[in-house]
Amino acid sequence: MNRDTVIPPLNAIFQDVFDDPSLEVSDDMTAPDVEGWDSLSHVNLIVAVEKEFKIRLTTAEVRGLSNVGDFIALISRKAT
Amino acid sequence: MPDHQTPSNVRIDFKSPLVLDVDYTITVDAEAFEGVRITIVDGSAAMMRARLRFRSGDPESVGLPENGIAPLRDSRGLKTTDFERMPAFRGAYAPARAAYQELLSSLGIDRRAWGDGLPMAVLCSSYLTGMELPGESAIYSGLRLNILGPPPQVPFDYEIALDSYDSRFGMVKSRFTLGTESAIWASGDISAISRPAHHRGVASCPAAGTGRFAGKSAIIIGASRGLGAAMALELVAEGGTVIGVYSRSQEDANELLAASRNLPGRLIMERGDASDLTWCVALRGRVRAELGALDLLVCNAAPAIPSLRVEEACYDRILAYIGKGLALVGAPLSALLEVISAPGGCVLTISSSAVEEPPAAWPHYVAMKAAAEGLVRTAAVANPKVTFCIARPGRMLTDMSDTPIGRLDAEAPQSVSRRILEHAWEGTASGTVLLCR
Repeated sequence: MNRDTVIPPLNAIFQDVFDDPSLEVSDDMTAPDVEGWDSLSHVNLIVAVEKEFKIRLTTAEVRGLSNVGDFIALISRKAT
Repeated sequence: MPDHQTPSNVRIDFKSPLVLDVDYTITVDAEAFEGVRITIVDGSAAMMRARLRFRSGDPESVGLPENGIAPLRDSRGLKTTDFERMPAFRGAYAPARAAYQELLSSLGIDRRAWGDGLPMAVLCSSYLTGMELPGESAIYSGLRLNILGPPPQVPFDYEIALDSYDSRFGMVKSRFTLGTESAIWASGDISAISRPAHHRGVASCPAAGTGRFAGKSAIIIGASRGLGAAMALELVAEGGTVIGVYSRSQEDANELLAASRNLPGRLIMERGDASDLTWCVALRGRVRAELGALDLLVCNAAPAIPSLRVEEACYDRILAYIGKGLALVGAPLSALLEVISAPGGCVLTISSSAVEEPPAAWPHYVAMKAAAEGLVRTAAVANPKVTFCIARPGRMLTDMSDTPIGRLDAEAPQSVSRRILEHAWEGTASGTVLLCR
C-alpha cells in the first residue's frame, strides 16, 4: 500500500483517537506535538491502525516508531 | 448544563488514575464546538477528558428504589484465557437511593438539571468494568455512551459482551446495552486495561535448589509481590531462612507463604512499615535473638509510582515521594547494617534502569533511586567487610510496571531475581559496589 493511500484513513484514526477533528498528520509529528498523546492513546492508535489496515504490529515495531513518518512507512510496508 | 437540553452522547477518556487528596483543576469549554468539553488537569497533564453532546428536551428523573441492586458482591476474577471464549454477562442494576443522591450532591450535580440518564449509565458502566468485564484489577480507560432516553424504570437490565481482547497491551474492549431487548435506553463501548494477578511473584514457584543458601538468613524489604516475592521463593528454595517484610498486601503474603511450604528453607512474613526506623530497630532485636546475624539484606520496596512532572503543581508530591522511598532503603539500612555478617554478608539494593534512562513522568522515582544508590555507595565505603550490590533491572512484569506500554518486552521477575542473586552470590569483593541489571 502506498503512503498516499495510507494517510487519509490514518488521519481519520488520529482525529478519532485524540477527539480532534482539526488534526492533520505529518511525517515529523511526534507525541509532544499532539495534546493527549500518552501511552494509553498510543495503544488505542496501534489497535485502531491494526483493525483499519488489517495488519499486526510486533512489539519491536511499536517500540521502533520515532514519528508519524515512521508509522506511515511501517503501515505502507505491511498493509496490502 | 444548557437549558432545555438533555445529554445524549458522552465520550470519556481516562488518561491517568485520579487519586484522593490532590487538588485538580477542572476546565469546561463550551465554545469550541457543538457540545461541551471537560478536562481534569493536574498541573500541565490532562488526567481525564470528557466530551458531552446534547439533544433538545428537558432532562427526566426516575423513581429510585431504596436499596441498590448489584448482582456481584466480588468482582469476576477473569483469566486471560477466559477472554478467548468472548464472555457476555447479563443482570439488573440499581444504585441505592441515598448513596446516589449523596454522590450527585458531592459532585455538585443538580439532578433536575441533568436528569438521571447520564449519571445512571456512567455509574452502571463503572460497575460493569470493575465487577463484570474485565472485573478484578481492571483499569477503566474509556467510555463512549449513547443515551436514547431516561431509564424507563430502576432497576434496569444490562448486557455486556467482549468485543476484543489484545493480550499485548491487556486492552479489553466491550459493548454494553442498558434496558430490555425491546426497550434499550442506552448503549456504549468500554475500554479497559486488564491486569490479571498472575503478574505477581508467586506465579511460578522454583523447584528446590542445591542448598547454596542453606543455613543462611535474609531479610527482604518489599517481599509480598513482584521481584521481592520471586527473590524470597528463590532463597527459600535454596534452603535459606527468609524474613519477608511487607506493608499492606496480606492476601499476597498469604499466597507467598503457601507457595513456600514445599521448599526446603523457611519463610516468615512480617507486616510493618519498613520506612519507620523504630520498627526496623525492633526487627533488628528479633534478628539478633532468633537468627544471630543476617547474611543478606535486600532493599526492594518502593511506593507505587504516580505520573508526575517537575513543575509547581507536583513539587510537594515529588518531595514526599523521595522522602518515603528513600526511607524504605535508609531505615532498614541504618537499623540492620550492624547485624549483617562481616565478612560474607551482603546488602542488595534494587534500583532501576530508570536511573540511566529516565521516563518523563517519573522524576520522583528516578531521584529517589539515585539518592538511594548514593546512600548505599557511601555505606559501602564505611563498611568495607560487607558486600554491597546495586541492581538496576529493566522493565519487569509486576503490578508496579503493568501499564499498556510498560508490559511490552517486560521481563518476568523470576528470571530477573535469579540473575541478580547469582550476581550477589558471586560478589566476593567486600567493600566494593557491584552493579548489575
